[in-house]
Amino acid sequence: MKKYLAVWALLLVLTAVEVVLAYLHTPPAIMLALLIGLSLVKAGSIVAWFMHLAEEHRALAWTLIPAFFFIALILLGILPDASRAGGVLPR
Amino acid sequence: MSSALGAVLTSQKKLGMWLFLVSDALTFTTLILCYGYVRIGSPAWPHPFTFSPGILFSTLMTFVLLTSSLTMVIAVDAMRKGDRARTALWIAATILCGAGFIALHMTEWRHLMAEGVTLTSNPWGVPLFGAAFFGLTGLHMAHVASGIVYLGILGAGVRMGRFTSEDVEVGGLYWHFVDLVWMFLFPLLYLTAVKP
Repeated sequence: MKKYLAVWALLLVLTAVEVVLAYLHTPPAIMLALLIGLSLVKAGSIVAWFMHLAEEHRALAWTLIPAFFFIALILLGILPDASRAGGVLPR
Repeated sequence: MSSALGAVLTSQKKLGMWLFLVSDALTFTTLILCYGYVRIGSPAWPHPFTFSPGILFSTLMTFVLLTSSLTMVIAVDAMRKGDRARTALWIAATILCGAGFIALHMTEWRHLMAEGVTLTSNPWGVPLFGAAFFGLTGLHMAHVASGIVYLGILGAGVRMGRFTSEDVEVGGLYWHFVDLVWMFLFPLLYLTAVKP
């Protein structure tokens, strides 16, 4: 029970950090990287402890995470094209 | 299946839910990347969220959803210990938090709509803002709503002596995933669009 409360508290603290971060005048690219980084930590904590993946047999994590990771990586391929889209997207 | 192979495998129900969640995560990943695409491709993305009420409100929503994950994990823990009455109670608490999240979210939606934000237009410029915002938050809210139905069936069944502790855990997996998705939507939709 204590462990769950600790994870919950950690998630709240990281959320607060994110909100503060949004109001610091950080360059957009750095802010985006920090926000996504913090979100990945939060998502990882949820998956590991709330969803108990850390306590499962390791084969489960190895089945799920690489599959997700590599498909997400392929999907990332659309982003470089976005800077070209500026001329065609509605303003 | 009591061989070495059986020791490696997780249960079918749990694996089934995990595989569904991976595919669902890819649905959200795709939509978030599309949002990134239109955002990078648009000249001036709107920054409509003021600290109060906008950001304070969405932070409160995040708090409510995170708390619902805590109550859910306590329910799973209670069911492992065989305490059905406590499990049903904590599932009810989870449902309450989920309903609170939807109530807050709908309030926010109605405010935005009153300001003139629709799927194809808004007062601040780039028309795709509405489609991206309502599309992502709407799909997420649909997940919360179906989660509430799922947990309602689960909680009622647990009270009536049905379902095993694993069934509750599988339900918990779904609920935590909905929380997990919000961990990305909150910073990417709200915190990168605060009013300067």
